[in-house]
Amino acid sequence: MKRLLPLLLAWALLCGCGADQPASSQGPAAGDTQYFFAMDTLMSITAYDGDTAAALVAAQQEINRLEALWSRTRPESDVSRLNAHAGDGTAVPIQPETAGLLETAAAAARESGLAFDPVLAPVMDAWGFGLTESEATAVHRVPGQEELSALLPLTRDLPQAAALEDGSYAAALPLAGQAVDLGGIAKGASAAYVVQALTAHGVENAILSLGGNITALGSRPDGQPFRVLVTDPLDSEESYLCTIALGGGLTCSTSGGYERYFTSGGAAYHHIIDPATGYPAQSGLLSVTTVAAGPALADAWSTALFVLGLDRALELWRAGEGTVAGMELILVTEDQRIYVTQGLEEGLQLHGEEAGYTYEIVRR
Amino acid sequence: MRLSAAERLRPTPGDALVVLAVLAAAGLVFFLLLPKGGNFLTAQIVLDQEVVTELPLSALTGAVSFDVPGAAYPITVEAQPGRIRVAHSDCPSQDCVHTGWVSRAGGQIVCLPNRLIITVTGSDAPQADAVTG
Repeated sequence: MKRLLPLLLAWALLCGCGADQPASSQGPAAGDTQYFFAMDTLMSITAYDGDTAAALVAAQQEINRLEALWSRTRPESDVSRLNAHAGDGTAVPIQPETAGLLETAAAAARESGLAFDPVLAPVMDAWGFGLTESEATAVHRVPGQEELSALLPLTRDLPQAAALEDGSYAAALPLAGQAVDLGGIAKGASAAYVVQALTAHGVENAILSLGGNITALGSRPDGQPFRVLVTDPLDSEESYLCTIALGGGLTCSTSGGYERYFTSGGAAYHHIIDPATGYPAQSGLLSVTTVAAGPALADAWSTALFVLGLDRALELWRAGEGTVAGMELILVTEDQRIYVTQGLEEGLQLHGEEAGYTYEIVRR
Repeated sequence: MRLSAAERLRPTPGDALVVLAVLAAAGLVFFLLLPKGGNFLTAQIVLDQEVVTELPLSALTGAVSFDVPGAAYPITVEAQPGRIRVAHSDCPSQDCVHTGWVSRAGGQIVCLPNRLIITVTGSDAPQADAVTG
């Protein structure tokens, strides 16, 4: 029996080691992966070269630093202080990263005709989709038209950010009751900083998943582009529409009503609110995936295009100029048609045909 | 196995047997956990970055139900042959419970308030490096 005890202990230890096997046996040369929760979502980073241990620590620290600036729920964040002084004329000092993100967000808001709106927070809060911290405890409800009509005027004036003479930055919200919420762009924007942190530690090949925003740095260990599965919006836990090849330096981001929603009186209400109406967007789309060189833009525009709908999205893509024209798109309609722009055709694998989806490559 | 006092600290044939048994066990575990052509499903439960357990879903012969130790909000996981779900959670969001049964490779159940991730892996999942959406 005395011989059996160490055997059992050794067995237990081995089972612990074995736990890593399924993950590491999937790639030819598995990288180091770090999973963590930040910005109210699950994130993972896999680095394949360089000083991976130090790089992953630095990457996570960078996310934590940015979350401390951009969170709506931390009272000392740039965003919280900006919101606390809405309408009182105070120019709130903010970090350069926040000023840069506000500028990027405002540009996306203007170019999309406010289909992406970084100051939609008062309306989001009314639905219970607002403050990320309260998402867990939020009471979702359908606000009345009167209530929404009173809130909508607060959602259109973008924050004014300015560079001061001493090189620092300040920003202000023009109207009392206004609030910035960068939830629709912050995760994407973080990717650029994470890539910098990784690169500084010699990482040349990595893949980032920041709450469904996937950023590829370099390529897979076998030299091929990273492969990314696109979730089936009708069976988001288990099924996929397709696999796309994501080239180095590109980010893909997906927005869909299936991600967060509640039901009331037999109707489903999802979290992508159309800033024009204050109600969940009814554009006929189930999900939008954007692939872009700018991670913040991929994030913001997946939401904007979901609100704008299929026709407008393809119109912007075909336009030849503008931000969307430089992206690739996957647009999924309620009648299970999937429109994939031509730049994603190479490396595309389809998985949704059995589930009833039909596919079309959209060309210019 | 009669041993003199001086030999008591030396490796004995018995110890060698233990080493062999451990090596055999290691090989066995390795092969059991390797993805196979026959779609063997495994569920990995991770709480706050620590692997709590791995369940060979395909090898289960009956239902298993257990509370995840150390969870901030008490959470009960239920596994049956080939599938797994969060049967009950005291967390405020209940997203994990609403996810329901996951029975395919690539499936995932996340409980954000508990920092808990259940990932189902197996050989029938489309091979990919990441998931968007």
